[in-house]
Amino acid sequence: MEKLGINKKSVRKSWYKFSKNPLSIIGLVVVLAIIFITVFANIIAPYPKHAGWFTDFPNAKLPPSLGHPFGTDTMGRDVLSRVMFGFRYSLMMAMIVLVLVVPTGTFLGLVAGYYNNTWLDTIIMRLTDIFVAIPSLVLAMMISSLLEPSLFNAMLAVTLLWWPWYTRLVYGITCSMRNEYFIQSAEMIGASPFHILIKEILPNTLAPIFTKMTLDVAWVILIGASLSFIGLGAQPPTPDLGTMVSDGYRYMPELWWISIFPSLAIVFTILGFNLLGDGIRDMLAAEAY
Amino acid sequence: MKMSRFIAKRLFYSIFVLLGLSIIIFLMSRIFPGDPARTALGTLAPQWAVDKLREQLHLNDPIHVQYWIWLTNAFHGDLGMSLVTKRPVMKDIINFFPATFELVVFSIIISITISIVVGVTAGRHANSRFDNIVRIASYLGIAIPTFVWAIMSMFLFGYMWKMLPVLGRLSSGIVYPPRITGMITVDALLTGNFAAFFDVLKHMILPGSALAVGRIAQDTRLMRASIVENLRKDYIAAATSYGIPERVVMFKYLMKPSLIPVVSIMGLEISGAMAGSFIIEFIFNWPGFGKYGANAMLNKDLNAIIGSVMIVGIFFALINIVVDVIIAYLDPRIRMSMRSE
Amino acid sequence: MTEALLNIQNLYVNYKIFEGTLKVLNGVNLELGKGEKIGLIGETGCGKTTTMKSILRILPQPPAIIQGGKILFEGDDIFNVDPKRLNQLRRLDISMIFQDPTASLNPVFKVGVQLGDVIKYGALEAGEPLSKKEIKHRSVEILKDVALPDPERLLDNYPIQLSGGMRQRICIAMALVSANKLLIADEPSTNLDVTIGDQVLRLIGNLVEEKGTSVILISHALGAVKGLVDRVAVMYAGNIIEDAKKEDLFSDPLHPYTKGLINSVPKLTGGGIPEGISGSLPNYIDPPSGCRFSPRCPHVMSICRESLPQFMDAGEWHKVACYLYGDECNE
Repeated sequence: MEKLGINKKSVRKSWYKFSKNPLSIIGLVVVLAIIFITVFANIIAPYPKHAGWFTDFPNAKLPPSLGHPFGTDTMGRDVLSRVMFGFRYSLMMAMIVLVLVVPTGTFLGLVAGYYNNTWLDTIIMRLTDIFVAIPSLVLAMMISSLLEPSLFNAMLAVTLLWWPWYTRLVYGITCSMRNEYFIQSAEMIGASPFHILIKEILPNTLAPIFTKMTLDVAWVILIGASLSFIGLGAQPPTPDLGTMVSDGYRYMPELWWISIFPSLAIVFTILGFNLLGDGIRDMLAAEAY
Repeated sequence: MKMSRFIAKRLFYSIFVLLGLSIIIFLMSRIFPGDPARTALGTLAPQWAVDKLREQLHLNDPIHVQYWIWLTNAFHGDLGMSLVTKRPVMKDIINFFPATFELVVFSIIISITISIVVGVTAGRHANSRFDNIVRIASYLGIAIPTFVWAIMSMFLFGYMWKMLPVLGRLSSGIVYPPRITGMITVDALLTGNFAAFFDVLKHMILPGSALAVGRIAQDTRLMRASIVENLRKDYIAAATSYGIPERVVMFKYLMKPSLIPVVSIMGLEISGAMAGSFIIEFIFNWPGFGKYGANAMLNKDLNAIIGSVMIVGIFFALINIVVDVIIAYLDPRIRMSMRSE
Repeated sequence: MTEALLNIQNLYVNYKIFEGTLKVLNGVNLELGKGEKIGLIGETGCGKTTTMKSILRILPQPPAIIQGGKILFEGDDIFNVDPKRLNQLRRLDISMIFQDPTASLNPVFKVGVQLGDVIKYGALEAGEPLSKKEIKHRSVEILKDVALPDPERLLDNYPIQLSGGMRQRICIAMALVSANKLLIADEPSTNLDVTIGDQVLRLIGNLVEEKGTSVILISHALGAVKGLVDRVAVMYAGNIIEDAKKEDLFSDPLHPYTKGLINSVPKLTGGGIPEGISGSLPNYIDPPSGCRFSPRCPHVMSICRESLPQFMDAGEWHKVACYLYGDECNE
C-alpha cells in the first residue's frame, strides 16, 4: 500500500476531494444500500420464496399495501421481495462482466501499446475497431439472440463486446507513455517488457481504469436491463429487474406497480453508480485551480 | 492531405472494418448452437424437410464457402430471405427504413435544440439555481434507461393524462399518403395531406422524445461544460476588453468554439438513436427498421439479424465520416493538422 | 507633475477558491499621468495582472471579489461608470495586450474577422461607422503599422497558422486600435524569443510615441522595462512597495525587496553568483499581518508586523512603502 502512495494523509485528502460534491456522497450511500440489500436479500426480504417460481393466485394483482408495499404481480408474488433479489442479478452481471473484461482488455491494451506499430498492435486495435463500429446495445442484442436467451448468455454477450473499450483506453495511455524518457531509460538498462508494463506503465492506468469501471457498472446494468426487458436476457421467472418490467408492462396502466417499482429500482441503481463514479473521478483527478 | 484524400482514406478504412464485422457476425451465427433450418421450419417439421432446407441454404458447406456466398450475394443486394416475413431481407429493410429515419431525425432535432439552448444558458449562468436544476436533471436523464422512460411516458401521457397516442404510427381512420419517400411526414406534406401530417407528428412525440432523453442529458452536460470552459479563456476576456458588445462576444466568439465538441459527438448521437430505435419501436409498435430488427432477434431470423446489424454498421461508419468532415470545416486547427500529414 | 489620468486608490481584491479566500490585492495605490510611461515589476503571482484586469473590468467575478478601493480614470469611478462610458473606455481609451498571444486570439476565427470587429466597434464609438471595405482597408493599414508583412493575406489566416511573434503583433494592433489614452502591456515579450521580444517592445515604444499614449508595461524582468519607461513601480504580494523614476530606482533602490531584486540580476562583469532573496511569496489565504514582506526582510522591525506601511516620500518623486524611511524609526 505504501508503494502506491496510500497513507493516512492521502486517504484524508482523497476523501476531501471526493466529498466536495454532495452528490457523490449520495451516490456512495445509494450504492452501499444496494450492496447491503443484495447481500442480505435472503434475510430482509419479506417473502424470499417469491423470487422464482411461485404462485399464489388468490393474492395476485394486489395494489401496494402495508403487507405488500410494492404490491403483488400476476402470479401473486410480492414485488418488493422480487425487487430486492433483482438487485442481485444486476450487480452480479456487472461484477462478472467487469471481472472478466477489465484484466483482458487492459492486458491487450498494454501489449498493443507497448508493441506499438507492429503487427501485434495492428491486429489488436483493428479488432477493437470492429467491435466499436456498432452501438453496444445492438451488438449485445445480436449476440444474445444468436445464443439461447438467458441471463448467462446475456452476460457472455456483454463480456464479448465490452473488452475493446478498456483496450482502447489503456492503449492510448500506453502509447503516449511509450516514448517518455523514463521508459526509454528503463529499456536501456535492460528492464524486461514485463517489468516495464507492470511496474511503470500499469500504475498510470489504474486511475482512469478505476473511474471507468465504476461508471461502467451503471452502463452494464443498463444494457443488461434493456436486454432482459426485450426478452434477450434473463427469462421469467428469474426476478431480474428488466425482466420484471417487461412482465408487467402489458398490464399498464391498471397494474402499474408491477412495472414501475422495478423501473425505479433500475433508475436508482444506475443513478447511484453514476454519482459514485463521478465522485471517484473527482477524487482521482489532479489538482487544478 | 486534402479533404478528398481524407474522405477516401476513411471510406477505405471503413470498408475494411465492416468486412471484418461481417466476418465476425457470420462466424458467430454459424458457430453458436442452433440449427437455422430447424428454427425456420419449427420443431414439428419432419427431419427430411429440415435436411432439404439445409442443402438449399448451403448450411452443410464449409464456413468460408458459406461466407463467400453470403458476401457475393450481399454485394448484389441480396441478403437472403427473412424467416418471419418470408420476404427478401433487403426489401424489408428498404420498406421499413424510412419510418425509422423520420423518427430518428425527429428525435435528433429535439435533442440538439434542447441541449444547445439549455446547455448554453446553464453554462453562461454557472452555479445559478437554473444551472443546478439542469445538472441534476441531466444526471437523471442519463440514469433512466430508454425503455424505462418509454414506459413512464406511455403511462403518464398516454394513460393517465390522455394527451398523446401511444401505439402505432397513424390513427385508424387517417388516410395514408402515397408512398413517395416512405416517410409519412414528408409524403403527407408533399401531397398536402395535413391531417396525416399532424397525426403522424402526434404519434412521433412519445417515441421520439423517449429516444431523445438520454441524448439530451449527455449533450446538455457537454454543452454546458464546453461553455464554462471557454468562458474563462483569455480570448473572451480580450474581446470584451476591446469593447466588443456582450451579445457579439457570447453568440459569436463563444458559441463557435463551444459547439465543436457537441458536433463531434453527433455521430454517437445518431448511432445511439438508431440503437435505441430497436427497443423504442418495439415498445411503441412503430413499424420501422428497429422493430424489424428486434423481432428478427427474438425470432432467431438469421438473415434478417445479420442484415440489420450490417446496415447499422454501414450507417454508423458513414455518419462518422460525415461528422469528421464537418468538424474539419469548423475547426481550422484540425484542418491544419490534416494538411500537414 | 501632470494631472493624473489613472488613479488606483487602495484597491483590495480577493479570490474565493475552495481552500479559502485569497487576499491577493492588499491596498494597491498607483497613479499615472497623461503621456506617462511606467513599468510595473514584480514576481509571478504578486497581483500585477489582477490589478490591470480590474481597470478594464474583465476580472472574472466570481471567483474574484473587489473588496474595496477605487479606480479613477479621468476622474470617473470605473466601478460605477455607466455602460455608455464603459463602452467608450474599452473601445477608445484603454486597452490591454495580454501575456499569451496564442490564448488571446480566438482560434476558430480568421484574423481579419477579429481585427475587423475591434475596428468596427471602435469606429462606431467614435461616431464614424465604417463600411466593410473601409474596415478592411483600416485593418491592412494597422497591420502595416505593426510591421507585419503581406497584410492582405494575413487577414485571411487563422491564428494557428502564424508564429508567436506575428500573433503578438496582431494583439498589439488590436490593442492600439482601442487604446488612445492608456495602453497596458502585460508581459508582451515574455512568451517570445529574446530577439523577437525585443523588437516587439521597441515597436510598442515607437507606436505610443506617435500618439502620446500613457503606458503601463508589466514585466517580471527588470531589463525589459528599462528601455521603454520613465518611471518604475515595484509590486510585492499585492502592494506597490516602491515607485520612483527609472534612474533613481536602479541607482538607489530603497525598499529591501527592491534592493534584493536589483542585486539578484547576475552581472556579466564579475561579482560571482548573487544571493537572491531568501523565502518566498506569502500564502495569500493567511498572509502576514502588517507589511507582507516582513517575514523575509533583513531589516524587519516590530512595527512592520503591526501595520501596513503607507507610501513615504524619499526624495523627488520617489515613494517607498517601508518604515525604514518613515519618521517613526528615526529615533
